[in-house]
Amino acid sequence: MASDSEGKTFDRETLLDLVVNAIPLGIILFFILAFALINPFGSNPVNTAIQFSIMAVTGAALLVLTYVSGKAISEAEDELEEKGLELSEEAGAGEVAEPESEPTPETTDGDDEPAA
Amino acid sequence: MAIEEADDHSGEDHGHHLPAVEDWPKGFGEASWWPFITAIGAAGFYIGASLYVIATQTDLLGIAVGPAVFVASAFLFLAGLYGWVYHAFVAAYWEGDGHGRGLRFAMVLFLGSEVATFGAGFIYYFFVRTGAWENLPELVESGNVLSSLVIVNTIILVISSVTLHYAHIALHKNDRQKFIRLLAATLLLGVVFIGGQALEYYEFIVHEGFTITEGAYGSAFYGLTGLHGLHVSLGAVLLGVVFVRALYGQYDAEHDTSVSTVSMYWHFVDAVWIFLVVVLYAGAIVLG
Amino acid sequence: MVGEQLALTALMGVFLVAVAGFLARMEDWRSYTPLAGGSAIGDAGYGGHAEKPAGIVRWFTTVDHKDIGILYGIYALIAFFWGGAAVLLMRAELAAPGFDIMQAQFYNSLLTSHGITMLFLFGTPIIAAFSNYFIPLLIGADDMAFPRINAIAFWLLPPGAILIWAGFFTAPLGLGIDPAQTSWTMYTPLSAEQANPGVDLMLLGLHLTGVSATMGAINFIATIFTERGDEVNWANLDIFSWTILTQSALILFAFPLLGSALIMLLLDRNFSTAFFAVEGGSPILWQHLFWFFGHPEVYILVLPPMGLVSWILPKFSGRKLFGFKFVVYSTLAIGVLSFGVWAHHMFSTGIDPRIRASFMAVSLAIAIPSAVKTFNWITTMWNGNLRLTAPMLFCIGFISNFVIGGITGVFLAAIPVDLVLHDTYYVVGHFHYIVMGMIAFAGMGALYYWFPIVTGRMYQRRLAKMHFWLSMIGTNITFFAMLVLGYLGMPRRYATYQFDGAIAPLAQVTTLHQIATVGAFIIGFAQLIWAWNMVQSWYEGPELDDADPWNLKDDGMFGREFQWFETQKLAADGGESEEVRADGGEVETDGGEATGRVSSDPRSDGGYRKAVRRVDDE
Repeated sequence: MASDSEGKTFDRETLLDLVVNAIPLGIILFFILAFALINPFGSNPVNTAIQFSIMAVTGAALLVLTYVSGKAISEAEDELEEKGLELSEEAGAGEVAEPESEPTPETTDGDDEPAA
Repeated sequence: MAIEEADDHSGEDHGHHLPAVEDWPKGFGEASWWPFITAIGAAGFYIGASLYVIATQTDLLGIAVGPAVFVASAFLFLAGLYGWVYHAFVAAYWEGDGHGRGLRFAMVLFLGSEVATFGAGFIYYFFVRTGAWENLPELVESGNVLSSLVIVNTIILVISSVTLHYAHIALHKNDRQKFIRLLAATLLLGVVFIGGQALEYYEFIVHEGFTITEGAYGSAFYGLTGLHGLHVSLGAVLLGVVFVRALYGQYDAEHDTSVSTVSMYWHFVDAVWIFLVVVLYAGAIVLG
Repeated sequence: MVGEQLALTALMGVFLVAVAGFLARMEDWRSYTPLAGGSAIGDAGYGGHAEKPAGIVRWFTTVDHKDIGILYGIYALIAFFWGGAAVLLMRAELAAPGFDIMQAQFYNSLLTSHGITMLFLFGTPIIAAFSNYFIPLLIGADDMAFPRINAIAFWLLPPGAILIWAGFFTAPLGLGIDPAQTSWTMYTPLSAEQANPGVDLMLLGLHLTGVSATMGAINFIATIFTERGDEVNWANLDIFSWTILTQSALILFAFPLLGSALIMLLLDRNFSTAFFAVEGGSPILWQHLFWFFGHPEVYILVLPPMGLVSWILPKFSGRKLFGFKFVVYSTLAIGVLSFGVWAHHMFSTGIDPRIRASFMAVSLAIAIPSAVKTFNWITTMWNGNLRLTAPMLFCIGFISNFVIGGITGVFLAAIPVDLVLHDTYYVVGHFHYIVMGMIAFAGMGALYYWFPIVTGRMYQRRLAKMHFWLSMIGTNITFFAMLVLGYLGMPRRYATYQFDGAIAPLAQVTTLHQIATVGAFIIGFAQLIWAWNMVQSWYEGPELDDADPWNLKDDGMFGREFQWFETQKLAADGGESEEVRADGGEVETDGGEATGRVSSDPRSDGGYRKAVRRVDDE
């Protein structure tokens, strides 16, 4: 699935998956810009600093966690692929005991996951 | 990504016998009374505190009942703790079955929760520092709150962290003599620190008349140093346990789980103290 | 006062009978052990939980995650009925405008107890029940990372509950220890100045349950990180474990902070410190600390139910969860963002408008990850082969209620709307759509879904569906009426509403309150049906013939917990290995709950490889 990931941190699939967190991040960025441009309440060193740090800190934390988890998951995917295991929540029993369970309905998983 | 812990007890002979009795109730490897007893003991602290509060607010009980329950619970709790820790961790050592990585990870998580515990107190202090920073006690006005005692105490605690670190390194080099000596030094320094804190409280309360009810700063001071003092005391108890186990020769380069977890805890408490001295002692008198 | 005493006595009577009945029948409960107790065949190399002490001793001494899960469940359900009884009394009082059956003090006590009980003693423990029982099974671990800490964490809870409820036990004795009347938010200065040791007892009890929750959280994170089986890694970790992992991380930072705040409040009450006094940290500090805990607490309660639905819903849709990764990443996003939104509970307290605006920004941003999940669930069902079993119905009800509860929440995140609707029944309606319509629904769905694993039996499907429909109808009647009440300006937290017609139209308000009361009693009745169904089916329900009561194998959705169940069942049946092909021979019942299937597939026997290391104690 995630075969051509060499050289880059994330392959295309993973990047698409990570887009989900770009939206809240975009909203936060929008408000940071909006509050920087439109400022009806005036500026006050302490309160303005708190105002922007609340958004910046949560946004940055979200960015970091998304990056770390995306990395961990895509590395784990590669690892699973090396072992020839399945990329499914249900996986876990069939493979180890009986490799010939391939042609069962589980083969559809391969098509299902990346579309996500 | 499954973590294998086999390396933690490699080359261990499995011929040891448990140096003490079987778990209780006997014969059921996976059943134990100890967690229940520990929990009831721990709950007893809260019940003792409740009875004390009831005694102060109503006349239903003698004022001594709550503290008595509290002390009794402490014995129950410690008994449970001993049984639990012994069978869960120490016995596992004799059986050559370690838990190193999981326990270190759990200690990291616990320290994360400690950040939040201390965090609430510091947030209060920052609230006061930026808001109602008035009616300060004489100690702060004169700058005497940052006494030489505090500075000496800080140095003692920092040194104890260093000695503990080198004790751990000595253990890794299998230098048992040095390990035990440095561990003893750490324990001693920790106890001296607690003594210093007690002396400081005595000076402040008896001679300076600065108590916990002394306004906003008093609450922050005794709340934070008290919480920290409890942590150092717990750390000293843990160090004591490690020291005794070290005397029994239960550690070597591969068997150091509790040495490293206690060491993590001790360094953390040390770091909190430095932060505390900077903001609570020094921070109160600069920019005052 | 007489009415209160009577109500209290009745409440206590019901409670005591329930407890006595529970204790009396405890020994019989061992009958489920042949399935859950483990066996040498199914659990190769691990017989740790095989033998257990007899009778009640087993439950006090257990360190088996499955037993502890059951204990958590029973504890949570006792709390659920306590909290439910409290709210039914409150709704009865609100059926008419005046003081009819109780005084304001007793109403306030019930209000406080209902909130605290449902959030701390029902919500968190019922999630712990599912996670204790199923996380180790889902990740292929032998047990939790620290089974004994797990047991300690549970046994801290009953004393905590007794302390929290203590005021209700002592009030009829006239000792001067009354139930707390602080509301679950315990706002200062009210909570700091209320002269009543019952408040201190409640605070101490809350601290104890907080310690328990923190221990549990450390255990779950350690378990999911270090105890996963060989074949489970981050890429195929199930969605429920992901949500529990995120939830535990939230608990790790939220609960200790609440603990410190509670201790500070106790010091303020008893040692005249100035933590939340005007001349000290100010009463607003309490709100900051409380909501810094309180808003993550909302997600602590809501993320695992989302995980449960994400796990169960695909099973009855015949399709994999659509956008599995989206759900994972958005769960993590919620975890992070939930720490940056707390002051949206404080928009009307007069905090700095600049700071308030940033909390609005983050609050609006956090709506996205939740909305993403809703679309994932809907698209999972899209074109799916839906089977409307009771767990599935609860999942669909969950989504439906979440749409209403979630969108009303987005409105509240906007400052101008919040300033109008703050402290009205609109807020109450909004969060009850979440906590009852969503959290409790997911919990019920999961209870039905896993009932066969825990008991080895099947529940009565007709009663389960009645339970669902009555709950669904009752929930929507009650809480929709509350939303409307909020628009009419009805303020929350009041025992009476005989106000001036200029504030709100009394006639309409009364009608809406009566509608809400009727809805609440419908919900209550539904839970009685459910309780009967659970108890009756546990003892007398039809035993399962195979390990696949939901026909999950047909769709390739036979989850890890059912795979484990199959190994247990095969072992218990003496390892019989005749294979009866079920091709075409299935009974297609209404919910696909074909119990008549005989398909014991021998390939799963022993196929479930356990973690490398025995985890029989920490």
